[in-house]
Amino acid sequence: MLTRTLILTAALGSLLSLGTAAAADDKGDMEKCYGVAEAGKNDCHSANHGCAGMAKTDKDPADWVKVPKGTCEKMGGKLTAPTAM
Amino acid sequence: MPLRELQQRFIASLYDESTEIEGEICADGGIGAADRIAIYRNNLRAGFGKALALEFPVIAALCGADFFAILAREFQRAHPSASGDLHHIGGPFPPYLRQRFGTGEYAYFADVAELEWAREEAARAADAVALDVRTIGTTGVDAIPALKFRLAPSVRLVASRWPVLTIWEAHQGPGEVREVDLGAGPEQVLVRRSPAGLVLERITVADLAFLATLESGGTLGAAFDTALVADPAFGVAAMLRRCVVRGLFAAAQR
Repeated sequence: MLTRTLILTAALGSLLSLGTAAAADDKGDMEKCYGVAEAGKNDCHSANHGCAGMAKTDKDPADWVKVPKGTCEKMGGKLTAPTAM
Repeated sequence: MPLRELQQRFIASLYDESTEIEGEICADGGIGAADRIAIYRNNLRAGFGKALALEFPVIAALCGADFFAILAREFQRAHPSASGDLHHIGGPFPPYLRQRFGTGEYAYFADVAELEWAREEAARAADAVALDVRTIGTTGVDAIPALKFRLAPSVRLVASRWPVLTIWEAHQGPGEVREVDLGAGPEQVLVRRSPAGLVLERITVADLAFLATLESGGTLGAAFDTALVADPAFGVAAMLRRCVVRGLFAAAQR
């Protein structure tokens, strides 16, 4: 336990020697403005809102697609039906 | 039909096509009632599906567009958005995928989704003033192991038994997706924000143990102990230095 405290004390000591110069590397108040609504993540987004593109009778795509057909094969995956549904 | 009941029926019909609502819709001329509902329903689904694909582009690529559309629809039925702001819809998606795919061959989807959601959360987390190390400089030797550090709100930790970051990286940038060996072993990822943007970093099991202990409110001593279990040679001084330089520690809240 004594060794642990000594190690931690030394570690903290070396931290203090960093001073404020190192900490200034990542200044919180220099950060970008995040959190503004990104395009497409608002229900009222305009780019895709036109009814024209979606005004078709909806079919259940589950009838004809059973398995992932994207890049998962390149991740060592196989094109078989998922085991847990 | 009372307005409240009508509204509830209308909402139900958007998620469940078998709900009878057409008879209640006034559709004089032009497009029929059923088509009008279908248009509304399709817009609701398309908006949700597109927002989900923006939040989980790697999952969308892994699944392919057709299968992702099915997943999005299933997921929307289980977790419809409670807000017009669709930034929040992805929160329950990783656990949904975990339950959906179980321990099968697509089990890693949930972990990849967790990494993508960690990025989303990190990007939108509140700013925090970084810890000024001088404020802990006066800590007495005996009190040092009991020190607690608050991680910056934008810091996220993701651990997986699959190479999740390698999978994520394989999908970045233009061109063909690189092949990844799913059996390459576990990866631990630190997600953080720097002035230049989001940073995803591979960290060791010991680093993860150290940071996760601090994240859950554990003391410096406890974090050091758990890290030592993972790696007896864990260098706590170097780790603390990395934390301060990268702004992982936030100033104590008053």
